[in-house]
Amino acid sequence: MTTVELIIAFLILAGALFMLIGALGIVRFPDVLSRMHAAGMATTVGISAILLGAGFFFRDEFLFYRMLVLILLLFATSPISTTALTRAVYNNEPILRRQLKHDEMAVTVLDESMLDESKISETKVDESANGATSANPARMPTPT
Amino acid sequence: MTMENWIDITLVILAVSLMICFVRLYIGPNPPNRAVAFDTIAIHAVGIFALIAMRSGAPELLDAAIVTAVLGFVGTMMFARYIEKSNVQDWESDKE
Repeated sequence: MTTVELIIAFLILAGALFMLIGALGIVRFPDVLSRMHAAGMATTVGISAILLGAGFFFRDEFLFYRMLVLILLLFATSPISTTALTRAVYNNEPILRRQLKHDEMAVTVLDESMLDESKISETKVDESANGATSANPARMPTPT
Repeated sequence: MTMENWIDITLVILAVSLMICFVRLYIGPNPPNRAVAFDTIAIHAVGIFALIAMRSGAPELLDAAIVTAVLGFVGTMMFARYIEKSNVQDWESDKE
């Protein structure tokens, strides 16, 4: 085996191991958000290592650039789909929302009639993060 | 070991990983879990396409990998939009 083949073998093995670890995390982790965290590793590092190995394997410059474009596409689309799924989970699962220690979207969930100028403080934000949002049925305005 | 052996070992690892993802697709208690599993399965399909293209020396299969990546993204976005708009909250939640 030449040096290039050793590099290719290392790349595809590392990518496959990353994807295996990501799949194990999807099965073993306790809730949806941490499962998405495990899936993000498989969908970025693992697949990009395998595609880089495939780009090196065929000694073709055009094919290598195409693999680089595919890696860029995956790096662009994986956060978008994960963000959309996370927003769907956030809007539809109040039990999971109550377990969050830090809820940045809870401020935007607040109804405007609840906004009192004198009461806007840190405690207001903390109350809304600790389950007051379930009593308040106002939802995020979903972008169309 | 030759290059074909390494590619075979990697294909076996990816097949095991794909089966583990299908376990989550089967037991996932609610739709977001299944959507996460579907996203990872689509990515596995891209990786397996690339490895089979390397194994059989057919670089035309990498175009199929590109198309599979785009279709997996579109499918996951469609699933996320469906979950977001459907407003079903009576599904089974995760256990502690």
